[in-house]
Amino acid sequence: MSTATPTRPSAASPADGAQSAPRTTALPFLQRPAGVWTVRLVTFLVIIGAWELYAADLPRALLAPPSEVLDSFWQQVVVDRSLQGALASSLISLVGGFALSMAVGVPLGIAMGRSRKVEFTVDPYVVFLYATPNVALVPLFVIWLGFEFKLRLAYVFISSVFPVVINVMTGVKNVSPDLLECGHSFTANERQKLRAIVLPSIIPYIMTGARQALSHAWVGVIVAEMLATLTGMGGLILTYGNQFRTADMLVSIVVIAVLAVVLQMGLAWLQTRLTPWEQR
Amino acid sequence: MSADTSSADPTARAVATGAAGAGGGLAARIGAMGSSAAGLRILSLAVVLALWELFGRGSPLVASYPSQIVAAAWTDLVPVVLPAFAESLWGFAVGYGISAVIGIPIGLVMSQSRIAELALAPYVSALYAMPRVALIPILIIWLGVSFELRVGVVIVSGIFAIITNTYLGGKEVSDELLDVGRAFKASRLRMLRTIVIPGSVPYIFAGLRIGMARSLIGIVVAEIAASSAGVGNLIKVNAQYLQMGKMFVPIILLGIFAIALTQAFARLEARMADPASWKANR
Repeated sequence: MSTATPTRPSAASPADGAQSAPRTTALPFLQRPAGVWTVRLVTFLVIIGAWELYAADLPRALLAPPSEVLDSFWQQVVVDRSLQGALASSLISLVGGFALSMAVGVPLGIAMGRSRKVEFTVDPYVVFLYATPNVALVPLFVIWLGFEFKLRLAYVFISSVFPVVINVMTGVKNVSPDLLECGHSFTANERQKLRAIVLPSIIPYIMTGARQALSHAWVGVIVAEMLATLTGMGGLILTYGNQFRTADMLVSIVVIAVLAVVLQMGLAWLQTRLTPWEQR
Repeated sequence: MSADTSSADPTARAVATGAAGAGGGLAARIGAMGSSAAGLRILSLAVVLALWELFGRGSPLVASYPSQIVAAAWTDLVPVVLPAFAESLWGFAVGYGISAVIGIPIGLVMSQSRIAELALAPYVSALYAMPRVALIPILIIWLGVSFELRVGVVIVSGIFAIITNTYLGGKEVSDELLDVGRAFKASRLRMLRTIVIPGSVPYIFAGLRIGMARSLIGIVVAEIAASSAGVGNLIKVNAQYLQMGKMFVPIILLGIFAIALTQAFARLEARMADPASWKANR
């Protein structure tokens, strides 16, 4: 899996020691921060401008211009405060389901990585459920759990637990055999080995799993809300969509997208803080 | 792996399982199964299926059970499930094909042109990170609820994975090779064809694999959310009528299909990831 890390301005500059000094002085405009932000700003303005012009002649049901989306944002956030409640509801499902995934996924991944018996007993289900598009299970979950919070929790859990399990299991299998042997020579028991050797070694894998899980969990929240419970941000989108209130709907879509990006960036930042020795 | 240690003392194992005399042979054999990978998996599946059958028969409307699912597969598979599957696959194939044909060139252009990179990268990565299911209602308004919608949802599901990975791959192409190309005054097109594209093949294939998995999700989401055709719709309708056995047939088939597709692609990817073999084949 690769998450996009679009611009690394430093990586574009010098690569070869002695020659670097003359090259950096002649750094082309597009490599400097000023140039980078000029292009980004111009692109943004062009997109917004073209959208505004294009949407002006279209029926409002098809597309709303950015100015109306901004109006609607103001209306929803400041005037009638309808967005906050939906957002809070979605975030509760997100945090609850994600926490459940970590609480179950990390121990299960460790058990699968340490014991071949556990691994072979459990892995048919992990492989099957991870490969199957989860959304196919939504109708089943509705029958089992109704249209309530536990449906969202369960669906978010099933969407996000497997990246944790698989990453943690891979991490445990990659723990240095030398260290484990060393622990063995000092007659460490399984519990001591887990605490002193395995857990510290798998932190980077746990973080990678957590990042993937969080992004899957956010998708899970929106899917469950849109296809089943009609609450939260997903419910807003669907309700506004059904009423052809396109400007209101676009507000929810943009908020969902921005939150997805913020969550990814936040965890990426946390990852570099927690595992600074990992090179990326 | 650990077979040697456990099969060394079959008698102890037979005693441990509590089987004496005539039953000892069978118990020992089951015990031996528990020590090989395939044996453990089969044992685990057998236990889970048996428990499912046991509990499912108690409340068939809630859980169905394996024998009911097999019976449903026997009557439904050919007349109902396979045509729905073909319908889904058609939308999936068209959307995925369009994603690949558009996505790879966009990714390559982004990796080679600094302006295109700066202009497009924020939007591509935002769309790659967001739950694309949120776009379905607006796609419904634009495309309706039929075939075009399914293709549209498949495209937005898969294309950003393809663009992002192709773009990252193009940026990873060795600077030395590009310098050699420049030194020999190769044209941009020639450098693209002979250096950049071969160099990013492993990334392109990774993008195509991730994009494929997401496109498969996309087609099912689209069918459950809006469409009246295909596998997703079949699952939804069966669930609405509480036809649990019939509902599980397409779900299980979907899982098997996803695993097979991923495995096949991973194998192809492993072959293509080695540029040497890729060139030798041509």
